[in-house]
Amino acid sequence: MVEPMLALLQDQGSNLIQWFLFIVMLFLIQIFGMKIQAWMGLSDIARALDKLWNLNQSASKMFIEEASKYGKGKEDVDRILSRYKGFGIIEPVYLDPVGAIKKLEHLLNTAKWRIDEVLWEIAPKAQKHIHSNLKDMFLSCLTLDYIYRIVRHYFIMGRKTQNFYYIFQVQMVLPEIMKIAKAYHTSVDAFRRGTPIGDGLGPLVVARFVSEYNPNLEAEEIAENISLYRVTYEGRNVLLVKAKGPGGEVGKPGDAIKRLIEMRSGAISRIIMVDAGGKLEGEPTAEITEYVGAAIGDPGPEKYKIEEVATKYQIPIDSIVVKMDPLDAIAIMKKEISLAADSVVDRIKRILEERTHEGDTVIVAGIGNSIGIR
Amino acid sequence: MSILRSSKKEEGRSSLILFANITMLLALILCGVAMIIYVLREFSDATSQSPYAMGLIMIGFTLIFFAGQTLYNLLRFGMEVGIPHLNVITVMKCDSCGLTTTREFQSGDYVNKILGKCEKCAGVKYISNIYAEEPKKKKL
Repeated sequence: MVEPMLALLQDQGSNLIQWFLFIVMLFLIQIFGMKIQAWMGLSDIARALDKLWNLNQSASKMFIEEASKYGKGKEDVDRILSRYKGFGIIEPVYLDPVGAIKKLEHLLNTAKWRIDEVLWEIAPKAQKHIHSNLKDMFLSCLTLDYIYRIVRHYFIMGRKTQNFYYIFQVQMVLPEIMKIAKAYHTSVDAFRRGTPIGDGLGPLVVARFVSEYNPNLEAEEIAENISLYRVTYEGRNVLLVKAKGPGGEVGKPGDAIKRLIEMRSGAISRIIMVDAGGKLEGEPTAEITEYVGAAIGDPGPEKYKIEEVATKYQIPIDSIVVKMDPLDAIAIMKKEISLAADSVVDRIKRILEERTHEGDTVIVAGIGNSIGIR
Repeated sequence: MSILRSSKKEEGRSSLILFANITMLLALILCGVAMIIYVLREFSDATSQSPYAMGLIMIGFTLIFFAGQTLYNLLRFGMEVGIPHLNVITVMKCDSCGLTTTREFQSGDYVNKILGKCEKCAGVKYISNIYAEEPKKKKL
């Protein structure tokens, strides 16, 4: 290594022009190195953007194909979908935090009603559960469109300003963005087919618990799109709560749990929540973990209601979380995740035996999307 | 922009740009390889340590590295948009004898759907599970 460098310094067999060219090249690399990197970053983003556009188009086409089976032509569905691209919620002001949750809930309800109206306009002849599935497809299309818009914004800003920070901050998270986009694209297919998705683990656990008694057990609607099943296990009254299926609904589990507790003036000995949770890289899919606290991934209002009522009556909350990749959470449920439901049922039974007594009333809430699960 | 109106012309243009990019990158890699081969053949003696030869080798490796990396990224992100094919299985169970059978998922299937009477014991047959599994790879 040293000898060639010495040879270079001694300038063996070269002339002044060669030296000059060599030094100019070093200067060019020094000056334009960052520019070259920025150019490479931009080309990476451009290619990812191209793929995001294709995913966006493909998802929208699937939605149009499916929705047009229920009363409206493809052109009409396409026109309405295009009109709602970019639809979203403007967050409430948090400067005055008093009542922020109620304001957020009001906005979420308004958005939900609006989307329901749009879907009835798009597919007036769809049955209730098909309507729910179409709504989930519609939301996946809007999310994909939103991701595309964000990446495009940074790409154009980076190209206009040649600012490395615009370019690199997107380039660094590009693999993650592409993974999320791919997950949403795959979810459109799952919603179209009406199969359970990974996030449906909570409702699946409840369904599995119910089926041990009677798979045909009738449910009561305790809150908006929330089913309640009553069973008895080893002398304990178990109130099983899940989103109403088999359409793709998540319902309002917070309302349901609050109502059940208030109806009994707080005479609930324990709340057990089951949900799907994101896994860290390296953790196995379908690993079961127990937590204390409300396991629910809503924007805030439902979790707030559960925490508030549990604190008011000093009811302990146990949570069982089944870990999975975010991609698996919105894709068709994998075999290992569906089989984890049996282990979760066993854990719930153990909690009931060890931490509650005969005659106690316990709420078991399966949180998640109930698509493909009654 | 309307999805149905996105023209085929646009798709054709996108494929053409992709083809042009790949061709250009392959040409750059070939240039890099040619430079290195040229230096190794022409400057095999002590003169290969001259800045000229060293510069050519550096440029050659740089071209191969950058063009190779860009080509890799292009192929990684430019893959066809498709949904991975998965076998979706419906598991059916009898609630009295526990007989379990499986079949391909059919539209309208859902967990805890009552399917009728069990063939074996006339108990209630219902769908107990629906899941996806990767298709088995054929052994060569």
